[in-house]
Amino acid sequence: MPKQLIGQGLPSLTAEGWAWLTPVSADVASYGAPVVVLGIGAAWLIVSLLLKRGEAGRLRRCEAWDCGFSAPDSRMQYTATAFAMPFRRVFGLLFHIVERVDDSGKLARYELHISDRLWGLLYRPVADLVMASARRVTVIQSGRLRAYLAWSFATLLVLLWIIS
Amino acid sequence: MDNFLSPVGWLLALLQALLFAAMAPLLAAWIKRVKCRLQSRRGPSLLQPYRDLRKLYYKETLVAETASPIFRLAPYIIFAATWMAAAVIPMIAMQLPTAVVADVIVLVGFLALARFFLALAGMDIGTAFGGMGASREVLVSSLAEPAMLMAIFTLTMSAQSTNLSSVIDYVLSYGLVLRPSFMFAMVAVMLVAIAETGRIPVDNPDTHLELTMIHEAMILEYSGRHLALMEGAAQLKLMAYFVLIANVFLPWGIATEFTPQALLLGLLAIGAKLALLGILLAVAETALAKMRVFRIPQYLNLAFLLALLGMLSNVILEMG
Repeated sequence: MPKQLIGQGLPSLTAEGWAWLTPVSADVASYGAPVVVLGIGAAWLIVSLLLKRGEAGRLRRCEAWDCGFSAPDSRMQYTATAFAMPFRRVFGLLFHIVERVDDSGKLARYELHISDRLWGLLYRPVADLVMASARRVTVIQSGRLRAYLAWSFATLLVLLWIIS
Repeated sequence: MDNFLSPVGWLLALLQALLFAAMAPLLAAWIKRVKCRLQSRRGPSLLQPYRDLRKLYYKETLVAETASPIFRLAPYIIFAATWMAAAVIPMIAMQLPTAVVADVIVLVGFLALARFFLALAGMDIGTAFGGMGASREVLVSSLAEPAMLMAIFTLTMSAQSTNLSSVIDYVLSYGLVLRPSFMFAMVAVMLVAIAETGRIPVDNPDTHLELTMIHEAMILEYSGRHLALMEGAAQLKLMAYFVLIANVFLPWGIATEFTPQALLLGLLAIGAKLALLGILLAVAETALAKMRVFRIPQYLNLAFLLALLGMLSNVILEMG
């Protein structure tokens, strides 16, 4: 990949064999993925062997903690909206967020609309420009063969004139 | 790469990893004891965390009926990943083979892996506490990780290496000089460490008051040996951050060769450094109050800003 991007590859990416990732040289940065997996596996094995011996290995199913109130059901679960709420507050500057609760009717309604500010500021003008110019260009595409032939002929004439 | 195959190195690395696991509860107890003393309380014995872990080990493990296999796997994954992260950090000796296996970016990756499963486990049961804790944890870490990586990049730009052993070697070879970039990076890493290990003012490890907790909310459903693993992993993580700060920024005393005297000196040096850092944390925790959740971004932005200043002062003052 770096070869395609910058014209030269990373010289010693796998210089120490397939198990090692050494982008520059082994003294500077290295990563041995198989050894890492082995290490995590070994740590796991040690811990689980230590913990699952005899009497200490008992495990019992019970109800989840509910603070002594009614049993938790799916309505009480943390939703994606709730999960993302701190992010909405912290990164609110980057997004246009409309959040409102309408409880005037029989049922309360919660509305949340999130849009990207950068989309409107950065990408939208460019996209609009491209679309508008494309619309202008379609004027010359009338769909009649004669018109296309005329355009081709005119282009050819112009090109010939430029060459000569 | 040549020290990857040295048997003495592997033996030391193994010993160091075991020492890490053995000393982590002691560090937690030390901090708690100093904190109690500062608040004119007597405080528990230094062996209390070991007794707690032993108690949890012998207790029956309860698992909620709604739990999926992830809930039961997560403690093992989290403990193993945190332990690996700790094992990578040079504690009493440098040039260990573990430093070659994983560099400092992989270290951050280990901690991220543990955090990912911690957040999953928090949400797994389906109670609101766990979801809230997971949401807050992810928020804190999404702000802390850039600051951490920025501070690390400042270090690695100076040392021109992401290998922790080489970074320490570089700091040692330059002797005791005041580098603005390192000072900024050190304060940034300290702020990140406090946030990541769930200490005051970001989170309070001693409370079970649901509105103020992050880490405890996620592990609320754990009991028995699962809880022991979670507590152990949290203690290991605190220890790992402390050793990282102590040995990367102030590495004097660490063993550069594998002789018994040098190793003993390294052990004493890291013990003293950890004790001092523990006192510092206890003082900070006593002097500060816990912040509101939505003040945490400001706190972590400060850490990021300091790391950025470190990077800038490195580029402006120290390069060329």
